[in-house]
Amino acid sequence: MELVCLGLNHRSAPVEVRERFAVPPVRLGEKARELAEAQGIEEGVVLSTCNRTEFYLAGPSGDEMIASLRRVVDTGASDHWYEMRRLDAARHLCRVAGGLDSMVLGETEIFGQVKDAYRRAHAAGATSGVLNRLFQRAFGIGKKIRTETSIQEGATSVAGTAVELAEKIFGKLKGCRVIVIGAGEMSRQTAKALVSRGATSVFVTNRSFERAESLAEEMGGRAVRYDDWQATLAGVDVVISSTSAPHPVVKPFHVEAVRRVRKFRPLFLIDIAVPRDIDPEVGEIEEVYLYDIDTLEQLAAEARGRRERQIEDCARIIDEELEKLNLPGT
Amino acid sequence: MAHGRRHSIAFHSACVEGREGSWGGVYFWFLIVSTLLAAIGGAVGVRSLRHGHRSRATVFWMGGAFLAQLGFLAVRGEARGACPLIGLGEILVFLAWSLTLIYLLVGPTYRLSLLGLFSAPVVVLFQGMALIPGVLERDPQRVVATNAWREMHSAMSVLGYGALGLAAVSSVMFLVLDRQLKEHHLNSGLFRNLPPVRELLVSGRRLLWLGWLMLTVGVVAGFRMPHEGSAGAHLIAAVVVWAAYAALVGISQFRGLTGRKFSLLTVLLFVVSLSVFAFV
Repeated sequence: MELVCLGLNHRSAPVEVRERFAVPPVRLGEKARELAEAQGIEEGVVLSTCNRTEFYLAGPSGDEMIASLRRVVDTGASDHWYEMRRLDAARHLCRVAGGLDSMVLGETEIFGQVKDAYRRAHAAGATSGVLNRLFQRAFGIGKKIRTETSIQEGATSVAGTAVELAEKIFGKLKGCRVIVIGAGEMSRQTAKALVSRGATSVFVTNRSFERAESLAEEMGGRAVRYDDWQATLAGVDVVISSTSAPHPVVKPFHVEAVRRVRKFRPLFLIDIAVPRDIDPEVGEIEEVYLYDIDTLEQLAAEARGRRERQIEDCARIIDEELEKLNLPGT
Repeated sequence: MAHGRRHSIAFHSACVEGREGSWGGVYFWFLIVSTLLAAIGGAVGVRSLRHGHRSRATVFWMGGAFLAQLGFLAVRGEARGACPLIGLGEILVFLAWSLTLIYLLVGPTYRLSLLGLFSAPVVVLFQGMALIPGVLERDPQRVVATNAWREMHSAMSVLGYGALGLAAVSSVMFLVLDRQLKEHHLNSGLFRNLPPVRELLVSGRRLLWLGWLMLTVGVVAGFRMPHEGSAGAHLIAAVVVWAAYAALVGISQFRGLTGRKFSLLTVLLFVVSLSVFAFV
């Protein structure tokens, strides 16, 4: 019995190649059964996400399984595909489930995608002794990696860092009100990240009112005329500013003017413009937490560094657990 | 009549002496165990934080400390024949018990992580002071005449102080988090595990309200209870403290205060208000 993994991912293949071999979630089980019925293959699981398509197979001969798979999937002679066998294949699955092979190191969405792929293959009758044990152990290892290391701690992007900080200030973001000053791409991403975590009442203001309306519509929010944004400041919790103005747009007197009305509630200011939109002196006001693009990028880089330092610990966990499993085919 | 009273005191002294034979020193052990458990809870919490995560065990250590406090208060209460709130030592332990009780009720309810870690040192400090030789009366005399208003005054005031103490603990947590957020020092385990700013402020305000309301009942009961000659200064101090808390509660509720000012005032007022017990 041998275990084999054949696949391509965001590192080995560009998106135009990956999309050719992508399998929709509803067809994962059917595809796995088709493989398991092919010559020389006894078990199969197909994993397909936006960043990877991988086939995990178990059968008597690795070479025979690879040949059968290439016939069924028609991989051609492309060098985008990587091939792993025995323990390397098992180790790779565990790395994938633990988020170590993801584009964003340590991300957790992949864990659910691997689980879903296995569940569909299992339901289609494409798995048996080897892959059942391997995948169950891979899920256990994925959980262990998340609980025993800090591989998933800290946001690794500017938008993610802003959301984490907002949650540190306001807790759950449900009911949080946000104003976006300047409808650029960066502010759009940050606002979207906040909305995805529950922020409501998004106000968008921009020199071009049409652009403000367009972004507001996308966010399910409301556009505000550029001359009127100061009045909105009294009612919001988060300000995202990203205009191309050459001078500060938000000045201390803007915030001072609404402090009493706000009852001195915390105010989170995110300045992602260069040159900066928010006068640094605004950060001196007691209830204001001001973060500029440099600080956010530095925090994201630190989080990435912390995650990378966890890789060795994760690899040790994987090796220890696979050794305990002593799976045939590895 | 006077002879009868002397006889009564002698009888109670004999009772207490009799109890000292069987109970003597037991309350000290309860107090030592409770202090140690709280200290361990705090130390375990700090050690976990150094490893980047919060200790879930602190609440259990504090629960153990609470049980030992109950043991102490039960033995002292039995010896006194009344609520054990006589003398600085008993007041300190009762305060520590009240703070622990409110922490155990509030901490898990609001999921305020690290509240135990910050409360433990206060409990250790209060009980450590009570353990200083001479602070805790070694031979607790039985209270001959109890009065419902006096008991209510003592109990509600100290329970109120427990809530106000926990509000001060929550405010210290806010001040630490506020400083870290302002100065962008966000990589410590402490930062990652502290509750959000808004939750700390909300819980601080609620605890302040709770403490102030209990203090109100305590002060009202204080006016209704029978007074001795030396009680005037204590009552005046209590009313001043009550009024200061009323002002803080009112201003933060209706006008609003920045988190930093609210927290600094809550901590300051709690420390200053402890002086009330100097007049007991």
